[in-house]
Amino acid sequence: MGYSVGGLSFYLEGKKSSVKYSIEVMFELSWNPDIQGDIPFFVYDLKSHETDQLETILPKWLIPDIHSQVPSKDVYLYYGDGHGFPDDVASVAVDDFSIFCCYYCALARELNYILLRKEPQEVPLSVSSVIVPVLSELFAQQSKQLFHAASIYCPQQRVGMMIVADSGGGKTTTALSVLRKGAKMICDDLTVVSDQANGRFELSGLPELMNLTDETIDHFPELKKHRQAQIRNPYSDKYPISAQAVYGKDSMIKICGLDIIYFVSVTGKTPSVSPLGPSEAFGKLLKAKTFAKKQFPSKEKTAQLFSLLSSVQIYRLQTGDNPDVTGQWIIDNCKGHLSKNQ
Amino acid sequence: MNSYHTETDTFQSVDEVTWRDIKGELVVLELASGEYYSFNEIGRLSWISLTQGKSVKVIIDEIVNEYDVTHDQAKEDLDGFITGLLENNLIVRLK
Repeated sequence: MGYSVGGLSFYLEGKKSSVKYSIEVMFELSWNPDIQGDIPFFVYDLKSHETDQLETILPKWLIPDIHSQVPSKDVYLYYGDGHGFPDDVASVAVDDFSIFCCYYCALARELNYILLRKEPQEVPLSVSSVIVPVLSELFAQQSKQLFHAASIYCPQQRVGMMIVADSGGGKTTTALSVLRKGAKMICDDLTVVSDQANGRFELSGLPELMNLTDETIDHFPELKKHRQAQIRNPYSDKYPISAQAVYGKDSMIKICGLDIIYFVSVTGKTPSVSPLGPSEAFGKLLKAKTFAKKQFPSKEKTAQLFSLLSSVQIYRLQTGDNPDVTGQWIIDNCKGHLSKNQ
Repeated sequence: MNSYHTETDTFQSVDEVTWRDIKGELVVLELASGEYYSFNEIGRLSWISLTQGKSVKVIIDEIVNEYDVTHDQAKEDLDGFITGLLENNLIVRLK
């Protein structure tokens, strides 16, 4: 088991804990630094009387931001740029009971996740929602882009596609509808897009389990036996399910080229596509790569987005109301979408 | 209409803005806010020419030559466009 995607590889450091376990499972992290991973990932699960430890773990520039953050469900991103640490980045969420922080220290080249529980209760926020914004910035430092998107490869057609939608907007359902018709899944939620030297773009993904709603599972009979109440995520009302456990080891691949971006909406009776202009697509992609408040695009990051928009075919996809039909329709038509939009 | 831009005025985009002409559509992004803008055809031509340092007079002539509009109409449209860009801090006047 190891986590290495888009040039980043981590290993978990220190004593095992329940929070660490969820991170380990979520990102397929290894505990063994000798085998893989070059960035240690420290996890701290602090109690209220250990508040002063924050100042020993986190940099001075970040502490005032944490203490001034108003409790809410929002995750905020803070940059060390301007404090003399141009590549440091941290994401912070604060609620009435806990402080959640993920901090990347570029000098030490280490990642830290700090949970400070002011009240002794369950973690009321998804662990990944705090870690992912920092990961997206680390990818950006390597000229890679992380999107809230699914990605799929159709081997017979040799077409790689990224499927973008808002949360709950049909992204995973659409990806699964194509997967069960013979396509391969790269990932269902967090896609890394890398710029290749030949002007093409490559898709890879963060190795999260699929997080499926009851509604998505109800569309696909084969998923129903994997729906186990005891592993339901109480904060998202979703079930973590492995695509490989359901569709077999060969159902997933690590990398493919990117040819088409579909912006999905679950509307219409039958599937259809219409070309999407670059300016509208830009807004949607910018949203799909923004994971926290105050996560601002830089000129460099925006240049990558502009290049992506110039290089791939972009469509609005109305899925229709039957996922079984949608998947086959995408398989049958994606090849034609490679040139139709030019 | 009285314009407060003279025809010799030139402008440039501010540092906090990045933009690209993609497949015939212009996308302008304000980095600090994440706000983005897209313009119609004449706006696109005007933005590209403004950022190339062309004067208001030259751009008016370009619009008149390219589109079926009078000089006065082009001047009024460009004036409104430039005013909007200045108010949104997307460009600054050079002289």
